[in-house]
Amino acid sequence: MLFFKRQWPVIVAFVVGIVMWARYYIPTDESQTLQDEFTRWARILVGFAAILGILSLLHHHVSKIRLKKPGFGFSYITLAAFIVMGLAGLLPISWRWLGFAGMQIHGEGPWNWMFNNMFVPMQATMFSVLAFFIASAAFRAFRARSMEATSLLLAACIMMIGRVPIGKWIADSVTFFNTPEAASWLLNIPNAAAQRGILLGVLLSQIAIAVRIIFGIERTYMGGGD
Amino acid sequence: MDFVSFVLNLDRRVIYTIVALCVVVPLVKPLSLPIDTTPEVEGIYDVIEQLPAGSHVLVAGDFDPASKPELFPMLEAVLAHCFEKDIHPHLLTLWPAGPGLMQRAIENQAAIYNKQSGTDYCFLGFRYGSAAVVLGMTGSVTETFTTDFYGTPTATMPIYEDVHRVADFDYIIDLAAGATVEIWIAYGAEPQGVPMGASCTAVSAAGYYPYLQAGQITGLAGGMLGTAEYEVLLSRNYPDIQGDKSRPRPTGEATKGMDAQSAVHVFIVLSIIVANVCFYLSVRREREERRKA
Repeated sequence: MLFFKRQWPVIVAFVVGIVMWARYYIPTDESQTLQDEFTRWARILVGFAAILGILSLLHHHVSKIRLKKPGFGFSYITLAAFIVMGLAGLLPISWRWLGFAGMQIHGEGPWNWMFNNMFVPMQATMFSVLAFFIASAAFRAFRARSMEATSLLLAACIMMIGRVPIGKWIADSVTFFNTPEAASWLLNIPNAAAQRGILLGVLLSQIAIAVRIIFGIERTYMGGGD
Repeated sequence: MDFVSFVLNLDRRVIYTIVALCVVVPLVKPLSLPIDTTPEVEGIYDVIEQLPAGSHVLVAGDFDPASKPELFPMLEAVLAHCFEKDIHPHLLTLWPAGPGLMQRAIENQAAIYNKQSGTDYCFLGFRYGSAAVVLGMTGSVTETFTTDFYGTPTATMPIYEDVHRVADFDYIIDLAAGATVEIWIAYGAEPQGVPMGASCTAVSAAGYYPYLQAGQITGLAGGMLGTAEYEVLLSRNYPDIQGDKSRPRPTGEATKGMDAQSAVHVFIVLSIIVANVCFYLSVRREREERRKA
C-alpha cells in the first residue's frame, strides 16, 4: 500500500509530464488525439475535485456548528443557502410548483431568481464596499514619509486622475501637465518593464517547479511535507 | 481642536459619507464628461469591426457578479457589436458563478437584435477545468461542450458546421476578473494562431501590458473606463440599433458610471493631499514643541 501512496503518484506525474511535454513538439493528429484524451481525463478529475470541495465545505461548517465555535451561527446560513440553491438547481422545481406561473431553471425559475436578485446584488455589494475602505485607508495611511512612499503616492494620484474622464478635462484646463498622457506613460514604460520582469521570474520558477514535480524532487503536492 | 488635529482624527464615517455622495450625486445628476478613446481599446474594437459578416468570435466571460459593473457592460457591448455586424458570438465561461450573467447578457442582446440560438450565436455555458477546457477546445469544441447551456446538443447546431476547434475562430476575447487571460493566450490563442483581445478589471489591467506590447493581445480594455471607451466607439459608429433611426442606442452602463468614478477619484486624491499637508504640519509642530521643551 505504501507503494501506491509514495511511488505511484511520482511515476504517474513523471509519465504524464514527459508525455505531455513531448507531445507539444510533435504536431501530428495522433499527438492531438492524445492531448484530447488527457484533457478529457483532466476535466473528469477536476469534476471530482469539485465534489471534494463541496464535501470539505460541508464538513467545515458542520463541525463548526457541532463544536459551537465563534460565529457558528453564520454556518447555518451558509448551509441553508447551499441546500436551497443546490436543490433549486438540481431538482425540476418551477415557480408553477410553488404556486406561481413561470419557467424552469434556465428561464425565470427559483434558481435564476435567487441568482439575479440575491447572489448578484450581495456579491456586488461586498466588492463595492472596498471603495469605502480604500478611501478611508488612503486618507489615513498614504503618507509621504520617504522618497519611495512619495513616488508611489505621486504615481497613484496621476493614475487616479489620468484614468478617469475628468483627467482629460483637467489636462485641457491646465496646459502644463497632461495627466492622461502621464498615466499612459506610467503604464506603458515603468509598469510594463516591471511587470515583464515579474512575469519572467514567475514563469521561470513555474518551469523549475514543473521539472521538480516531473522528476519526483518536489513531493509536497502529495501532502505531509517532502 | 485645531484644523490639523481635526483632519488627522477625522471619523471614518465622514469619509464613507462623502464617498457615498460622490457616487450617488453624479449618478442622479450626470456631469456627462467627454470620454476619449485609447489605442488599447481601439485594438479590440478595430479587429471586430474589420471582421466580415459570418465570422465567429469566441467570447469568454470569466467573471462573477463581484466584477459585474466593470465587465458586464463590456460583454453586452461586444455582443451588440457582433450582432450589428452579423458576426456569430460563441459564449462560454470558466468561472462557476459566471453563467447567470452570461445568460442575461446574451438573452438581452439576442432579443434586441432578433438572433437565434444555435444559428446566430451559441451560449456554451460553464465547464470545470480552466486550462483543460481550453486545451480540449483546441481539439474539438463540440466534444468539450457536448451540449449548450440550454441542453441542446452542439454537434447538430448549424453554427458548428464551419467551426470545429479554437483555430477556426476568427477572434477570441476574454473578459476576465482573474488570471484566465494567460490561460487563453498560452493554450488557446497563441498556439492556434488566433488573434485575441482582453478586457479585465482595472486592478489587473497593469499586469497585461507586457502581453499587449508583445502583440499577444491586440487590445486591452481595463476596468470601467475601458468598457466606457468601447461603448463610446460603438455609439459613435452605430448610433442606432441596426441602422433603425427609431431605435437609438442607449447610453452604456459603464459610460454612466464614469462620472461617479471621476468624482470618487478626485475626492480620494484631494483627501490624500489634505491629509499629507496636515501630517507635515503636525510633524513640524511636534518638532517645534520638542525644541522649545
